[in-house]
Amino acid sequence: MNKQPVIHLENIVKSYHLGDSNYQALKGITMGINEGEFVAIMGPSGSGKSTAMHIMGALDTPTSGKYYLDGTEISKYSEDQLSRIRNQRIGFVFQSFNLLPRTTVLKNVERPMMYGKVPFKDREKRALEMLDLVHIREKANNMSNQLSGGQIQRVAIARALVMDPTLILADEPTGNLDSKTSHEVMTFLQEMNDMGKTVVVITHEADIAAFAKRIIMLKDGLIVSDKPNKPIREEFKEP
Amino acid sequence: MNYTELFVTAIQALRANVMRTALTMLGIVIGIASVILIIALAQGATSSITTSISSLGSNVITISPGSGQRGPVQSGNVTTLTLDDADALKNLNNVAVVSAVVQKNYQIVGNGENKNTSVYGVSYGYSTAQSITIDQGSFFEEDDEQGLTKVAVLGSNIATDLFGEDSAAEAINQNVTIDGKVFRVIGVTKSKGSSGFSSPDDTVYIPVTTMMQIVSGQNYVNSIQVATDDSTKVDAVSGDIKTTLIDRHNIADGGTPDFNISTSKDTQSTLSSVTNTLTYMLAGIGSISLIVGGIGIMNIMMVTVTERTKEIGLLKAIGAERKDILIQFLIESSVLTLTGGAIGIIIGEALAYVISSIISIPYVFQMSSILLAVGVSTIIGVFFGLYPAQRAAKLSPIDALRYE
Repeated sequence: MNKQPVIHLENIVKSYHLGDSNYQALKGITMGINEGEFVAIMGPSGSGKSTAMHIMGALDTPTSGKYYLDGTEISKYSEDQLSRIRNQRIGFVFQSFNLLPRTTVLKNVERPMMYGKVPFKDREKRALEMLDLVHIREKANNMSNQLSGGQIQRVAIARALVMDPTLILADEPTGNLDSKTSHEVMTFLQEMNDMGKTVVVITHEADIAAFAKRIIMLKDGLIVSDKPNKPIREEFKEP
Repeated sequence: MNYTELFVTAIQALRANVMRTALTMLGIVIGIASVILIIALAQGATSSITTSISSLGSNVITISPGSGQRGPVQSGNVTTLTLDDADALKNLNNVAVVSAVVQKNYQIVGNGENKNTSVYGVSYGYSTAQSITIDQGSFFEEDDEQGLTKVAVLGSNIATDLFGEDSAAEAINQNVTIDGKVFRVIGVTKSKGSSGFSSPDDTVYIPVTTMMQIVSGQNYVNSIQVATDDSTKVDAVSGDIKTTLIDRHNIADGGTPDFNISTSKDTQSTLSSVTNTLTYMLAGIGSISLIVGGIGIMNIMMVTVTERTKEIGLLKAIGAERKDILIQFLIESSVLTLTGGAIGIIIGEALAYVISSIISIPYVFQMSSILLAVGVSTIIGVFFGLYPAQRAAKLSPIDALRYE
């Protein structure tokens, strides 16, 4: 397969001011993720994996270094420009608070299209197609608070796909789920990857990371290992 | 962005906390309702005053002594108008009726009762000029005026006070004494109701000549009333009167006249400017509650923004720009104030309708005050919603997503 780099990070540093001191969450990360990859980013808390997710997800900009998304450097973009990038190119699945309260499943999935200026008449059809993909179309008119945890994550995946993004970014997508439902959700992400989507999952659970084809391990703001998944599965189990 | 969808979203958000929404709206409801009520009642009062003034006759010109200038009363000048002046005005074009008026308060005794009241010495044409209608008997004639007869026409209240309820007819041909002089009652007026000033129902009319020579013993009149034969000629006749009187009183060119001419139009505009000032003042007081209501809106919107921080973070993550968030919260606060405004308009108009009928003034429905209320509610929503909405729009997506 001819693979384009979807994400290219070049010496990314992110530091925060904590009182007088300067805390470096990322101390210079360089990596690339190609189109169609399924990558898990692992690491203990404080490793910088959340910060890395924020930068890859265009939710935040790096202190220094360059971030190319689909070949465009976006590390200096304004907040509204980043909003547009997130809308068009990135689909998010968060650990919790994925869906808008007081809103139906269908309207939740349609919401990114509202910001993306997709014509009103096309929205419902496309949202229903996405709900079909995650087998939850029958819940389209339910309110978001009537869904179970696993159903919420499936709706979130449908919403992440609706703008046809280049990257799906899942931040601890199974953090609140039991293991059976977790596996179900990961299977859906795997299916999306099989359909050609680039998927990046941030997790600290080895059996979740096991669904990925490549595992990047962060520790103290640096990449400590970056290997294909299969042969090293045991190595990454958390203590 | 689709505004219909944003309105639906806003209404859903407001419905999520009905009690809070209702209490927040209450400030706006009370503010708008009180302003609407005040304006409607003031308009009703104004139109009632206007009607009663024009019932006095829109073709009547009143000439009173004095220079009409502001400042200390020039007491020497109040005796400048005479019966001869009144006679001279009868020859002017378009003049229908001229009546000299001499007014003084006297004790009137009749049928064993007595009462202190206002006695008007007037010419026979006065009843026509002032549209006084006679219930029993008749008004006096030109002969009475020239013959200095001692006849009186009683106001309806006076007749009732002296001769008892429902017995106006009994008063006719009875004698009454005014300031010790005996008068024969020849007429009783029909009740006009209070017109806000001295009521004609509380007045006794006698011929002006009798008044001047027998009762008050004065050689000047308090005012002269002129009725034109055409209400469009009021201004022209006023001018002629001025010229005539300046000439008769030997006032030099450019000198200050020693009399004052006013038309019922003048009185009307003076009164409406007074009621307008009152209206503005009361509406101003009413709008204080609108400002307080607006601050309530701002307060609740701040709470809402804080409560929904995570939601804002999620919206930003899926692509909402600052302006999207800003508009969403502005629409929410505007829906709040507009709904409150609409309820306020309904309550205000309903109260105005009820109160108008209780205090018997006309109910005046004014589209302009409705539009004003709608405009003001929208402005309050946008103005007081702006700061909370900006706070929401400026939230950084990661801070918002992390918020617990």
